[in-house]
Amino acid sequence: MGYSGLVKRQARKAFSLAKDLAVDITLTKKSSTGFNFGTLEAGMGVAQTLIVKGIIVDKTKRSSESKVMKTQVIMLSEDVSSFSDFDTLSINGLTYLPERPLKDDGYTLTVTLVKEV
Amino acid sequence: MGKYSDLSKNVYSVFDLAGWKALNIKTFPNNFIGIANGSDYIRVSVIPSGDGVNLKSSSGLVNIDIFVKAGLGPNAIYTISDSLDNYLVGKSITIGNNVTQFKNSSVSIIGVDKDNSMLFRAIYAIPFNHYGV
Repeated sequence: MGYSGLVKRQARKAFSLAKDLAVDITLTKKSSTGFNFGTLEAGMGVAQTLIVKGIIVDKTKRSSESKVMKTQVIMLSEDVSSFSDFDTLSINGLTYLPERPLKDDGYTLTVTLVKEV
Repeated sequence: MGKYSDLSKNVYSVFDLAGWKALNIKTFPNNFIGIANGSDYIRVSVIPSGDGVNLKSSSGLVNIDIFVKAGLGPNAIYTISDSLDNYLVGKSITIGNNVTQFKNSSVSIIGVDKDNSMLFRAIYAIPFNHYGV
């Protein structure tokens, strides 16, 4: 096995050793079927859900007036490679949207999730 | 409905026509995020920024962002612009008691898209008058 496979295996092992620090994240993948100019509504495809592990590394609320909570999460790149603009992620029953840009080093994906509070 | 909803319905109805759909130009309104990256598409925004002849009327601009593959020359932009002209310039759209009349168009070249450098962007703009009752 080359170094790439070795690092991937060690990254997965690190998530396993993190135990309850690695929380379950429900990724709901949605795609759009386009926009209907007759009804002026967006068409949505069938949603698919997937449960992946993620480690929360930061939570930020910019100010007391801000209605947005940002949560930074690290996930394994093998589990999630990208998000569509309609994908959502749920952690402990709270639903977040992934923010751009995503930072992917090929082994772990770091993403900032946003949610109105 | 209200003035702005009626106007929006009139303008966007153009892109629901079978003839426009047959051109296979991917068309999206603003604030629609399901956009296919890497392929030619247009994004339509209605800007009712001017006065109207009465309180249910307005005037303004339909701004259409045209995104085509970068580096392949101006042809695609002007072909799409000509297609838009065929459906908009000088046309009058009536739904119920609401009439939207389009004037003449213009195209501005913007350059490589700042969010996706694989795409080149131009803006097709066409003023309109909207008459509501």
